[in-house]
Amino acid sequence: MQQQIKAVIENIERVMIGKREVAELSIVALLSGGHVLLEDVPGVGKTMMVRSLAKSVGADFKRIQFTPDLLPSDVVGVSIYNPKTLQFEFRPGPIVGNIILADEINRTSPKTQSSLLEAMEEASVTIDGETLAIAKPFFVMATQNPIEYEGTYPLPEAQLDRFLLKIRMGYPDAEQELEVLRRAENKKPIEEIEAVMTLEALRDLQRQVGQVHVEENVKDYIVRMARATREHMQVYLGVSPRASIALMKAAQAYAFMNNRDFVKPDDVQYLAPFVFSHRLILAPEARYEGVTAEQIMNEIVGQVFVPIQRHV
Amino acid sequence: MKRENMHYVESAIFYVILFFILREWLIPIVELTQTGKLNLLLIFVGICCVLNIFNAPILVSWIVKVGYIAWFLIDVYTDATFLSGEGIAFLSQEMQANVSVILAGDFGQVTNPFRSVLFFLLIWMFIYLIDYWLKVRMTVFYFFVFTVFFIATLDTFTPYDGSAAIAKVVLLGLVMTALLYLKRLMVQTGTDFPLRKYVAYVLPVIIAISVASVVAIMLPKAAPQWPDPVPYIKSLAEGSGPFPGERVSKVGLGNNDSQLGGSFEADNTVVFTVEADSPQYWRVETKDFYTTKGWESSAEGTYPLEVPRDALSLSVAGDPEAEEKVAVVHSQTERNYLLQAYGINGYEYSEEDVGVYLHRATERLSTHHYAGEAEQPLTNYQIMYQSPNYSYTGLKTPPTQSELPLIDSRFLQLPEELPQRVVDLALEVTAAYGLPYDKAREIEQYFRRNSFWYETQNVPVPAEDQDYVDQFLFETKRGYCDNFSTAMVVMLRANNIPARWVKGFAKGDEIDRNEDGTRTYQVENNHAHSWVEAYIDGVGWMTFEPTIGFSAPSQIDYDVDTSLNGAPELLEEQEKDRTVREETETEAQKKATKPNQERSFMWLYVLIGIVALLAIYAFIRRRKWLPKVYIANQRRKEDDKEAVQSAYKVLLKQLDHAGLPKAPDETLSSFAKRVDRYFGTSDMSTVTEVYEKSIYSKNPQDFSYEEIKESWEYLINRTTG
Repeated sequence: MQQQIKAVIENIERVMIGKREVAELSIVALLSGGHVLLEDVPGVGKTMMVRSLAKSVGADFKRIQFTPDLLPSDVVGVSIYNPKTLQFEFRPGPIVGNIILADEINRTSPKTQSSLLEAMEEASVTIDGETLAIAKPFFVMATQNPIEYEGTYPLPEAQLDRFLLKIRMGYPDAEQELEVLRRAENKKPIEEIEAVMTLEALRDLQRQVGQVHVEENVKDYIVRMARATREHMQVYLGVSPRASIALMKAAQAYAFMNNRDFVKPDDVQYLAPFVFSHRLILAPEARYEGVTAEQIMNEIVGQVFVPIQRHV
Repeated sequence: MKRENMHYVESAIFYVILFFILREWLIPIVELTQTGKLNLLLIFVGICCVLNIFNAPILVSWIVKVGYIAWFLIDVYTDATFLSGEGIAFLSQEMQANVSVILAGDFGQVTNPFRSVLFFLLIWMFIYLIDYWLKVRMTVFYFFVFTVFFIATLDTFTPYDGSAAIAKVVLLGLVMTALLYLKRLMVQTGTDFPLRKYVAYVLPVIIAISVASVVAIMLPKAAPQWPDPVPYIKSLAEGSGPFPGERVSKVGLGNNDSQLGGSFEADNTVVFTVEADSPQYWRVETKDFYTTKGWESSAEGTYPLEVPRDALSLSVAGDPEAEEKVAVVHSQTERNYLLQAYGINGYEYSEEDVGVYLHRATERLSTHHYAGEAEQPLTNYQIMYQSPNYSYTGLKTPPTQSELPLIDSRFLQLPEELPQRVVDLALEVTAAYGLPYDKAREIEQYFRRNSFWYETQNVPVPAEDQDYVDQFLFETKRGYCDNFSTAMVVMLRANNIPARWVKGFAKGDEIDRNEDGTRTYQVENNHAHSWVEAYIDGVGWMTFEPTIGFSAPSQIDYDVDTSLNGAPELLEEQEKDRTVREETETEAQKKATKPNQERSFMWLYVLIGIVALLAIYAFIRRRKWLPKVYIANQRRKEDDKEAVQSAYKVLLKQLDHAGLPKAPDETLSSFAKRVDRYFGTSDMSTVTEVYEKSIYSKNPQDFSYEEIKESWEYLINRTTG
């Protein structure tokens, strides 16, 4: 594994017990410039994960707690009239930062949601005709409670497309939970960790990720995977080409993280459920039958053959 | 072993069937090895079966079997009673003696009782094996196939006739297979039928098999499509002996020709040497009475008549205008006959008190003392002769006045039992010809043109109700001189051409050239021969040689003058006949080209067969040797991208054969991990890592085959199992 990234993950692991996969995937998203949607119940460590990641890379961490009454201006910022200068002054909202935790994103109104998602996609905010680019790295980690909970505004599928990965945290197992208790007994682990990487170094890594080679046969594999979602019987709407790009980028980051300068089908296979699942719109019958998008993605991965020869 | 699977009654049924199949094994073995005591052997088989049916404890089973073997030995090989001191002593003596013989490696000295013991042990083992097949594997299919193969082999290569046995074995074996299949299904599914239901399932199968078998037996059987391969296999086994045509029966020497047929062996005892100026046939006697099984003389028991030694005249006359020649005979063994050259005029020898006597019916000549007429074989004598010469024109001219009424009717004798189809065939062969000579020539050539076969081994003896000629002409189509000559005589007689069967010696081997221009021929028992003399109306007695691979010296004077204007058709025919004649001779000189040609074709088939078998074997065993080829191939390749690619492809294929196929959706590294887990190594991951680089990375040249060579070869070798 790449040395600097390894250090970051180890750092996170000092805080988060048994969440190495989530940490890795978060870093994949961070490296490829994407954003992560964490879907899980409260209290499993979503916030802690993001904070420890932000702290490890020495990034500016901001948190937005979404509530039904939150307004778009509370997210992107607001122009305030300054009587001294007789001008409107732009006060950036919390979204203008490096690593942002957007907590319980599905609790707020669609209007506020879309302002967040727009900012995520454009990596800039526009207020009163003024556009402010958000400095890199810009990484949003949104969390949402499973949608069957009451009082939520589920994110529209088109919006979900903006997230590179959707990850579930899951509960720790008994052993891990015990370890969590031990560590939290008389101290706060999050307070103790230090940055192991600079933002400059992170930007450099992000540049290097773009250099990871994706051979034609692997690209073809990604495309076949995407097409398979569009042809699947239980899928109403398959993934978009944007999803294919996302998968490729994520695979590049994952390969880079694993110290490789080329992408293997293994990377694609591993990441496909995380990248594609939240972008599928299932057919109504499938939903009635209780089939989940993850199940369908696993099925698709099992149907698409892996390239084992170089294209001539 | 799971032995509780079978009920007594059930296994009893199986063992009864098995007993009868085993019986079919024992019968030919006993018959062919002349072992005898079939019943006692069968009792042993029966005992073994019964012990197995009741799952007798090993100790009991051993005591019974060993006891039976001991009883058998004492009862069969000695007069002692079982369990008497004498019998026990015999046994211990035998065992001691044989064990020491075997330890000394002198297997030829093993005594018969001990051989019997070994045979019993073999049967014992065999039944044990069958018991395993039956009770544990619950299939006897291999045994069944093996049995059919065994009987078919014996039927083909030995005199044993297995046609009935095959039918029985197939019937029993199929029933057994069906029963066991049902049994196996029952065990697998854990069902247990009540008897009635069981019968309801089994009965239709047995009926179907029986009906199919009966129909199969009743159906007409096509004749074999291929020539019998046995002679070639045998000649292969015998090594490159002389052309079989040179090996001729000793039958010609015996007096009794009433039972022809059967194999005979080469006998190179030298009978005589003869100095003569050209190779020729040496006549001994003729026979005239065909019995459907062989030849007898119609004048058996008549007394020989003394004839003047220097002025003989036999029925095949010489050419009075020809030069008189002398052949000097030196007998190597005492024979009670004189050799005759065709066209003989007389003998010369030194014994004054010995005269030449003629047996009129057979034209055999022997020498006797004048006083007392006791036979007195000569060791050295000279034959004066003028070789006969037949004018081609004469042969081709229809006789003006038939001489046939003058010829003894015994030369036209045919047995009443002679099958009509022989006569029909004889007439059919000659139908296109009018002249007796042409007819005779046509019959002589018939065998050569109709894929008859010269064969000295395994020539069958006609059965009780079978005709020797009929069998040869229509069934076997192979045989030696007796078959050919007898058949020709019978066919000639059927055409109303008087004919007789001649015994004597063929030309012999030239061993020396003498100063006076004569040559010395050595004649062995192997050269004993039989041929045909036919009476050509208007011409006289003439020899014919129907046997494939032999040719008699030409006696025909092709006298149609090329400058003659009158008879162009005759001339043309003469040329044709001469060509045929010459061809035949060339054939003989080259030691029978035709059979050789056919034989070489046959060899081709045999060769193709062997190659095909080898190929099949190689294909079945390909997992064993292909990897070695791959490795060798790989080592020859240049070290580049291609080498890794092809190496990995081969590896995938091999793993697939070894039962480790890569799933289409499986990535290479997860497949590699699976393979490594299976083999307990990490080589597959090593190889795969390099291969992955070669197909997914930007610069496929960045690695070399050398990196994976060792791991790759190790894996390939592991896949061979």
